[in-house]
Amino acid sequence: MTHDDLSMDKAFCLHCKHLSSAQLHICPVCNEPLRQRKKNSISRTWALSLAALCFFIPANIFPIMKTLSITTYENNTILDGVFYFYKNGEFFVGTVVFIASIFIPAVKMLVLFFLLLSVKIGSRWRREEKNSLYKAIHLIGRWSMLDIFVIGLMVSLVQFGEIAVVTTGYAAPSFAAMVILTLLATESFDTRLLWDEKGKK
Amino acid sequence: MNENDALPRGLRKEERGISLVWVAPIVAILITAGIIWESYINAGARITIVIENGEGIKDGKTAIMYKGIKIGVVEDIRIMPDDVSMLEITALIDKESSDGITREGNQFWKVAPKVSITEVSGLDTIISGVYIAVMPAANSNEELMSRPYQDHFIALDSPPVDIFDPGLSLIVSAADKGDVSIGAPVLYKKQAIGIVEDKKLSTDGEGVDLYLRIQSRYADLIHEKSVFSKMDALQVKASLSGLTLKMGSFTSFLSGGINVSNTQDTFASPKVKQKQLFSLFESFEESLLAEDEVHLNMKEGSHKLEAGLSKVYYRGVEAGLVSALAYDLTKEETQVQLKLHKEFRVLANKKAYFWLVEPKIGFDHVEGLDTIIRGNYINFTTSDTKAKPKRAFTLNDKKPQREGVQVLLHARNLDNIQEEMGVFYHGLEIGLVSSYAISKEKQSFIIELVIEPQYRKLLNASSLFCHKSGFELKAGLDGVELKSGSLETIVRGGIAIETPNFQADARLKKSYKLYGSDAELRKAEYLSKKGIFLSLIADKLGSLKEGSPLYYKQIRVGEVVSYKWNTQTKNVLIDIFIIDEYANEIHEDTLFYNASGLNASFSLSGLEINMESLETIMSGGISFYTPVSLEAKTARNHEQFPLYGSKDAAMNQYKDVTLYAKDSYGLIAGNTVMYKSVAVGHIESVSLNKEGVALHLKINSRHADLIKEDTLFWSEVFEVSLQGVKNFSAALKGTYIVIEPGNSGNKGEYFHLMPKKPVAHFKEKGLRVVVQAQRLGGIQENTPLYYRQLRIGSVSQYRLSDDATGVDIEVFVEPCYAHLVRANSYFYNASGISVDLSLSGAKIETESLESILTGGIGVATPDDAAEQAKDSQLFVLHDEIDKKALKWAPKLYSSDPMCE
Amino acid sequence: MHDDPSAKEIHCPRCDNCVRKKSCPLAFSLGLAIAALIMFIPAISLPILTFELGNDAQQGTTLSALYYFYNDGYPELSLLVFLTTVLAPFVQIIISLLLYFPLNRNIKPKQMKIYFKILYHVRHWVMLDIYVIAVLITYIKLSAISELLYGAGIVMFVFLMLFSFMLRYCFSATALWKAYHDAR
Repeated sequence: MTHDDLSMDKAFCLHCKHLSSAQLHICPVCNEPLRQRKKNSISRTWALSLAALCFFIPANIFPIMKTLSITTYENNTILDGVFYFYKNGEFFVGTVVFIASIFIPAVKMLVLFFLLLSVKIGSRWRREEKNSLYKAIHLIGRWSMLDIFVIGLMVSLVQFGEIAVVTTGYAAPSFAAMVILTLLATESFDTRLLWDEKGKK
Repeated sequence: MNENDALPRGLRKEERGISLVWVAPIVAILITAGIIWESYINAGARITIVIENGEGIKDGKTAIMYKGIKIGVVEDIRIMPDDVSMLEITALIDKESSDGITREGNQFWKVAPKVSITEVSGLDTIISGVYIAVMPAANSNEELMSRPYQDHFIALDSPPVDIFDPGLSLIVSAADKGDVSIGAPVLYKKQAIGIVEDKKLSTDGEGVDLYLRIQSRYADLIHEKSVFSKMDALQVKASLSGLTLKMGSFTSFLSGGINVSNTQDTFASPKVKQKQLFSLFESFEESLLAEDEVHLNMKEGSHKLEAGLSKVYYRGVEAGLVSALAYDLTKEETQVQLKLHKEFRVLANKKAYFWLVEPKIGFDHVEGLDTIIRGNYINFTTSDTKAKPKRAFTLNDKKPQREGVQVLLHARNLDNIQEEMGVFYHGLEIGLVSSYAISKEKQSFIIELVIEPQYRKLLNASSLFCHKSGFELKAGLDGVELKSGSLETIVRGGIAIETPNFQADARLKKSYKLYGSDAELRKAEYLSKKGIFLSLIADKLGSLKEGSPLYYKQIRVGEVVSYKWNTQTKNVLIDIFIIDEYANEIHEDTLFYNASGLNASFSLSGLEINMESLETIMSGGISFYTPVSLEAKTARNHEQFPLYGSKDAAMNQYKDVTLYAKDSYGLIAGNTVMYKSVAVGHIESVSLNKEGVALHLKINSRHADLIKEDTLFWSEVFEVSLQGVKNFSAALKGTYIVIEPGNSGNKGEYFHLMPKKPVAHFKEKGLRVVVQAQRLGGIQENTPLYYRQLRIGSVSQYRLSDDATGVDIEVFVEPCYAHLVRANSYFYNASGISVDLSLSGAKIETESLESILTGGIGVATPDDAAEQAKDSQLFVLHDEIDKKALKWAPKLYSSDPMCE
Repeated sequence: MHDDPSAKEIHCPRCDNCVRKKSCPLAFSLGLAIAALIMFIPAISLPILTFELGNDAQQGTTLSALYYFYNDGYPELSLLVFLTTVLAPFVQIIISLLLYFPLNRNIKPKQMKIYFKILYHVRHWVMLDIYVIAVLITYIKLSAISELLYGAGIVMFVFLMLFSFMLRYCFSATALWKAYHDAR
């Protein structure tokens, strides 16, 4: 109850990490509006996660990169790129790409949905672990951008006219959008909601 | 909820109402739906193509190409559900192209690399992979779009007609389909201008109609008078003057082809319309033949002509061919039908004369030699080209009488002179013998020649005539006739004309003397020149003959006039003539030698060919060498000289040496004798005697000094063994004898031949000690002896010790190092490598790189060196070097002043 | 305000999240910002990798990737890459300079609130570290095909990434506001 007491009349400014009285509307240190919880955290997270999920599908089934050469015309999806590395024995790199491009976004969305549902039902089960889970996805989420950068580099390096050209596939914007949306969704979630008890305002 | 609203803003957990952020998933759904719509529903048109052979087609990869650009991709390929013999391709056509592609009548076909014996095509697909090409049904957009929609197509087996270049289609009727196949090229000046699209039996069943398609841009080349003929894949033209081989394009070689030829009047003729009919000639030449035939009849004799092959010539120019042969039983005559070229047809007129040319080979007479290669042919000529053409002629078997300048010759003997025999000027036939008769006084013959008028100027009062027969035909000092003369003139005999002086009276003599032989003529000719005659005495004539040239410093200075056998001396006496200006070069020391043929010497250093001139290869020749001598007298007329068989023989006087050996070791007469790799002589003969073999050597007198009483002779035989290849040069030159000259002052003549090179340093001064070893190890002859890793000697020989407990190795120490080997010296085996594996790594010690390969013996002398070792002193060979021995460093000085 | 912010880290007793973080000295952060600024221009403009195919060679810089994305009809990707690898690091460096420089000299930056807000948000969009890994992966991917050379840019880029990373690591909201309030 002490914790709840603490949260009742105190507000922690996320910007300047200053704890002040919740009655103040403005943080005395940084002049930012004071909130006990992130603004519209739950609905924002829901919206952004669902939007990301929408993009997850085209991002993975459509080619993200096209390879044109004298011998081949290939549309590569993200999974093709992963298989390419596995086929060539580059298991480590293949795994990195797989984790960064498929595993992380998927896990991120799953985790977010899980956390949102937890908040919804007011589950008090393993709140510390859930918090750690959030911290993990927050930390690794950025790495999904890896694939976009790799494509950018490939496209700018492999430009050899008739012989070999790499161009961007139309799944790339979807993928980028998915990554950005998951980043924003993660950012908008407030872990403190996990400790808020249902019905208790 | 109300409670939440009541809270100050800072404490609110959730705002009320629907947040604006929900726009994000809505937009996401819309975009995703859009992408899916774009890529699936709105991506373009899906068409199905039924194809027989799906080889090389890959779903997702194989492109649909139109004019070389990709307009779609094969999405799926599968066996047709209702027909297992066919495959069904589902292809996705790009949106922008889909409208035009899904039209009725569009044609699809697979482009794959095709390399068959009749076709090479689609080579680009080797790299790019198989693709499916499309040809629209119409060549304009409006027309194409007006066609009904269609999305199911059946692929063609072969490329369709290019709608944008439909070309000119023509029908060429041929007697038979021959070797022209579909896809064969139509060529104009070897440039492909179209293809044979199809061939069908003509409606009347008489022949075959070939359907050609000429590319539009070449359509202008085809006129009504254009000639279509079968392409000769391989044209072989052979004659005495050579062989020409012409090959058409590779494709036409395999699949035949049709050649389009235009003559000058072709372009004047009107252009053709589509589907114009032409007829196909067997060859371009056939198209030139006149329509009507000329009939010849021949009473007797075999003609050996072949219909369709045998040619007809007009004065040597091809003028037609024999089209048919028949034998008329009632008239008992052979009938020959000719087809002449249009322009030659008029020449077969009332004044024309046809005769058969066939080879006539007698002992002295060969005629129509070219027919051996060309086959018998018919020649014709006409004395009046304007005469009225005629159809029937007689085929004669003799040439027509020639007209020309008459020349009379008188000869004592007729020899083999016959009518029709040729008259040659330097190998050029300028006329022939027309007749001969016995003179009125019955002492000689009168021979009448007919010289062709254009050669009249070659004759004048100074002309000489000589009877030639068979291969003896030669004329002139310059002898160019061998290069320029045709085979016919060499083989055939005849009368040769020589005009030594063109400044002489141009009028012909009333009668000329016919010299019976070349020599007679030559003598007569030389008598008119200045020079000297010499006689050479030779063992044999070789390839010399009358007229063979005489060279001095490769300048032609004379020639062989005649030769005869001297019954008394059993020699050949050769009379030669030398032009006066070179006569002074010959004096009593001059060496004459036979310079016939090629003198090629082949050695490891290369091939060297010596010859006086090209002519000497053919006809032999004589050359001479005159040493510088102030006292020698200039040769007199008819002086006698010996003729050496070769230049070497002339230059060298040999010293005779006889070797005795147990075996000939493969040596045969002609093998060389070498000294320091220089040939100093050769083996004259090899004979057997009681004890073995006797080899008779001829050592060049220049090298006679090498032969002393103690000279060594041994044979060098090419050997291949595990130790390597020995005497490789003997493999090329053949086994040879090597000599090692002696030091003795006395000369010798009889020697022993050693089977192989004697032990090293056989005769050298130096120290020889014997080292006793348990085993021979890697030691061989010439294995080096090292002192402080410096080579001071070598193993000269080795043998099993007398009691067979070890090996006695005789080591030769060079004289300058003899003082290093002392009575207490330590010998060790330095063969191979001693590898010392220690904690610090491998340490490899070796006396020298050579010792790794061939082994070696080391010697070390202790600090308290004893007296110098004596010859044949015994030492023990230690297997390993004593570590102490490495530290020994006695100061040893040589007493021999020569070694300073 | 209450105590020395760099003295210790404070963690939330409930969720163990870090509430207050140790800070590096302001001068150190300023040094990092200056160093990063020096590295910035060569890092993004020098070729990072050079790919050779036959006689032809293609140099890839950060900026050329933007160009090709734009050229292929994906301006949004171009913008995203620009944002994460060029603009965000640049803004991070510049704002850091604008903040740390006066604070280091005990002067209150005029637009502290705006600067701070920008810096606070831009941190998440600096993805230089990911970009370096992407270069590595591209290298592995392409080196199997043909000759691939490291350009000078990669060295600069790695340094820029390190400085930027440390700048982010050293960012401490508490410390900054304390310095602000302590300044004159």
